[in-house]
Amino acid sequence: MTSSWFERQRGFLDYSLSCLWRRKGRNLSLIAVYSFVVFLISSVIFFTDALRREMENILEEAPEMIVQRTVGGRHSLIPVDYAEKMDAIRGVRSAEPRLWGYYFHQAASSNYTLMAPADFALPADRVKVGTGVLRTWGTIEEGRLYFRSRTGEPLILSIGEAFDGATELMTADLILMAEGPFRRIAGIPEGFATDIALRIRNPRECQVIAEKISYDFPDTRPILKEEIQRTYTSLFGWRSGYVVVLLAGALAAFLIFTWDKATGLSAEERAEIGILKGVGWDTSDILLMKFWEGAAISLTAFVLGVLAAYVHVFLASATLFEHALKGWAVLYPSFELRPTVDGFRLAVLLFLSVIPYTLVTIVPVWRTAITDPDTVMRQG
Amino acid sequence: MIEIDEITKTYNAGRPTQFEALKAVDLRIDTPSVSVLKGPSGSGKTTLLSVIGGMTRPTSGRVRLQGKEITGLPERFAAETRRKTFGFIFQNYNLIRGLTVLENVLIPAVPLGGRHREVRDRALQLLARLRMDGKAGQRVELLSGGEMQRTAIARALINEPEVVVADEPTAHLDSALAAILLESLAALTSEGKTVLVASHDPLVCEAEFVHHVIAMRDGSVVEEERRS
Repeated sequence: MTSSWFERQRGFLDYSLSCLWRRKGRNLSLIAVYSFVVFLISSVIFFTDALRREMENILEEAPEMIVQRTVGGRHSLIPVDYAEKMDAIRGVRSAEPRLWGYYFHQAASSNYTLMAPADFALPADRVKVGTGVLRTWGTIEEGRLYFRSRTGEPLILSIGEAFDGATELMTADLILMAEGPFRRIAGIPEGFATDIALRIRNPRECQVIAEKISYDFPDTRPILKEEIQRTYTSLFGWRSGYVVVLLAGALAAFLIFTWDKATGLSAEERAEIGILKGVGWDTSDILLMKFWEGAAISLTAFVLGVLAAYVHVFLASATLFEHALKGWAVLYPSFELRPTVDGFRLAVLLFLSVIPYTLVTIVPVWRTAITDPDTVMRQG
Repeated sequence: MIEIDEITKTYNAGRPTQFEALKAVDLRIDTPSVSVLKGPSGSGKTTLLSVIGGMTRPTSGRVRLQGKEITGLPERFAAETRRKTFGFIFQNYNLIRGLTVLENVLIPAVPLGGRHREVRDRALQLLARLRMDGKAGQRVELLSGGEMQRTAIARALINEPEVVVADEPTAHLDSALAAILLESLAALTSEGKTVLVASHDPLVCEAEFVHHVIAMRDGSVVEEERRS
């Protein structure tokens, strides 16, 4: 019984493949268009998922809360002694003032991120830079970077170290330096910091602590880690949506193509169905054969499209979309994404591409197949 | 025995183009035997073959095969009867273009789900018997008329049917090929099969191996001749 079932399926599959091969020009062009559409959508999904995962990994180490001071609703410098007061709040493990800012380098027409970590290990005349800085700064001579301080004085710092390329997603435009030169370049006076990073003992208490800070320090704005995560998620979601909208034209063309193929059975195809019925196939046999035909096309296109997208995103740095999807910074980091495949999203794509196509191709066949074989052959 | 009782078939019923192709046809066809339906074009031969073979449903009446009614069967069982009991040789061969001779011959066997190698061997044997073994891998549109006809015969026989139905099998053949075809049909009777042929070719109607000649005109049986 089981063996007969398999032989039957094999027979239908063999016949379907013979039929596909018979119309190879048409079917190969269909697979090419279909694969391209799957490739575009899968690329967007892979790319945004990988970025989101990358962000989640990076933010995992980030402090639970950042506190900024605001003046007139805009971010302003925060007194360092606020950190000591916040450290005393119950539930706060540590409160560290942070020094960071942006530096516009005219020669490269680029913005770079400057940071002065408290535990910066290099001498005061040295910096640690991201690979994007090495690539784009433009005026590096003998490993030295020329800065202009806030008061217009020149300041020369040597490159002591560079970040590993694997971290480029976050470090491409980053320049780490000691507190002294940072304050001179950024113009941040002693006793002030850019913001304060808070570590919280129990992350569930973040909201309560944020409310307390807002109450005790009315000129500040606490930003929770989960808010940053949400912002990134919506940013990537928005960007991927934007790209999908751009791809809507390709999708629409594909739908028209499929609909045209699905709704119009040629006289030859109708006659063929009549012959099959005449020699003893019933309607379900014909639908099964057409199911295999549709499944062979759509699954082949799906696999090809997804594989091509995987190669495109994870091995070729998503060259087609990088400007649309990576461009949240002035510099476009040339990082390689860690392969991340969300099985659920892939399953949804499979469901939305393979099943509708297969059904759409089966319906007109069913309409023809339910009539008498004699009638079908006379019409054919 | 095949019993045909009061079969009528009306096309386009209720429309101005209504046409009565069969008018209360009554027939008894012995099994095994070779029966020929003869008559001019439009006399209802092909329609009667279609009704007997379950390719089309009659408007009224019934067909019984070995006492079992086959006209009112649901689609699934009608198809099963068609593939297990009948083998069809169509007027225009009705081979599927783009497929090879062997692929065409195998088509009726697909829904039965037999072991692929056994079915393939049987198809190759049939083709060898019909002197088509050298053409198994050739696409059917490249065949001559006679080769197409023999492919159609092999396809009709692949499921070892009890009844072989042939509609104008010599219509596109020259005399030499028609003679070969008739030999093949005659050989089937010696295997205990029933052969039903619709033809207005005298070569078929007057062939020695024919047991029963049924003359049709305007959808009715007008004359029957049984030969011993």
